Amino acid sequence: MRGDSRAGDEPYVSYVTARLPALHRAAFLLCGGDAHRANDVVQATITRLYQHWKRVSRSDNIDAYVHRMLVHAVVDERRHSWSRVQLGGRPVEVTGDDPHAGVDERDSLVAALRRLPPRQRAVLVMRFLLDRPIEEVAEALNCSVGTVKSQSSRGLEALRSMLATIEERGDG
Amino acid sequence: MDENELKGLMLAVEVPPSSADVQQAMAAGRRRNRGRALLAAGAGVAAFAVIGTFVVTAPMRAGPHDTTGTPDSTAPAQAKSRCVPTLLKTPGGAPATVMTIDPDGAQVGGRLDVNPPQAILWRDGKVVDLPTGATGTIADVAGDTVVGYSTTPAEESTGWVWRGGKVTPLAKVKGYPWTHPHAVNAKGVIAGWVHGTKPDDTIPVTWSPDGTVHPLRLPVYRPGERSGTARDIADDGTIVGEADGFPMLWWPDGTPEGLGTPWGDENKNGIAWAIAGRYVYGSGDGVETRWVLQDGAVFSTASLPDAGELGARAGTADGTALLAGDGLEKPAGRIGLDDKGPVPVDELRGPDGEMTMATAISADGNTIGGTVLGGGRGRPTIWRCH
Repeated sequence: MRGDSRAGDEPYVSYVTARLPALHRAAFLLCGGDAHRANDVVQATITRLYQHWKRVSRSDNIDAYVHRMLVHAVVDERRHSWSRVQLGGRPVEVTGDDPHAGVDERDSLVAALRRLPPRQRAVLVMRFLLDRPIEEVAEALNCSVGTVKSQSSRGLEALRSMLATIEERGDG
Repeated sequence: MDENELKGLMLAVEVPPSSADVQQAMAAGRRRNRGRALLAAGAGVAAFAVIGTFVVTAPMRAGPHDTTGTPDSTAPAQAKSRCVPTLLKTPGGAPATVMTIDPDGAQVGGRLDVNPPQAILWRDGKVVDLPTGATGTIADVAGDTVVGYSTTPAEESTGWVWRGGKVTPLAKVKGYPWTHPHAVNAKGVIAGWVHGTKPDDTIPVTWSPDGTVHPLRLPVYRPGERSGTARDIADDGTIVGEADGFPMLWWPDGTPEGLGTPWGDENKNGIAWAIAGRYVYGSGDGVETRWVLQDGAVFSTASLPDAGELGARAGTADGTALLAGDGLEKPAGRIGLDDKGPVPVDELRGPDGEMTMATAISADGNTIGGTVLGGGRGRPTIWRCH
């Protein structure tokens, strides 16, 4: 890191440096394995965080703010295309010429996540990777707690189904 | 694969190295903050600016309405200092959230954000003693009727109404352990929802003044999906809310109608938060939206300035919309009806310029309830506007 931080920036730099790998992992999964988009999203998030650091840093739960920023960055980054995807949309069927057949389960997970509707993917990442409480996820995604619960359930079910299909094809 | 296994898999995914640059973020953040400061200074000079497009559509009773054009994204001017905040006191200075304000602006309801949450009601700025049974969270207040809900130790929730000195439990729907009243009209009819044991099993309902419950009819948008919530109810019984994630209206006879979005596309996510007179407030396709009803039909749809994810949270019968704000970057605000020309947004800030989230507005639009954010705690607040 270049040493041109200003006085008072140390807490921000410390926080971001410590959280960057986790943020990048979350962004990578939120973006369905698109590493370039994940980089853009993380960059946008930590830039926004710096803009609001004075206020955010007074919070008891900085991570909650930052995770919300991260999800919103994904939403904003593709606001128009995102908005055409229905929250309750069904995952795309896995086709016979799946290019990911035969790869291990971790790679399969990325492939399966990519097939989920973006907001369903966001629910799964926020709840199960970032460990955000269900109410917080609902607030971040501007939907009801019930919707988060249903999307969690459907997302898990869809992932199970897709991973099983991918695995079967890999074995075959 | 269960939730823990999914987490394990997520943590095991090989992620390419990040190219995020902290120094670059700091430099960009400084530039943007300088730009925002300049914009804020200039806003005091510019009194008015063009705001969202007002799109008139042909009246229709049901089905998708045909709108044209896209909302104007021009930023509105900010009219500062027209709304003055006053922090509401809480017992022991506990953090609290404002949920509602009564139509005449004298009573504010909400909850203390303690564990478990405690209902709180202010009348003329002073905390009111609540009867036993009025616990949890106050959802709405109208005249002498106070409506709320509380979570039980059995992980269920019960609704209640306090009227005429008596607290009456709201009837539950069998198989739906969660009861969530949200709004009450001048006739004492309550709108809200019940939630079942299955994740997506949520039914919009109304309760009569005597507490009996009546499920609302849900439209079928997606096979197998049946969920919805009622968020507000007008005195004539018109109800607004959402169904399967779409902004929705129920006419007084119970007929549901999709409200659509500022682009006229019914097939978009959104929510209708409030109804007042002929206006419905909410968000469609992520855009703050004000719908206009006329002669029993959705007449027109207009977009409002961007104020965060929650959209237009409330409004008045004269078309004044309350923009919720996102509590982080986009401040809450009040904006009048703009069909006769541009109008300014009254920014709603805390006493020291803090960010806020606004929740409710009085019938005359001059008293607003919300929460000042900062320091990781919410402070209940009312704004008096002139």
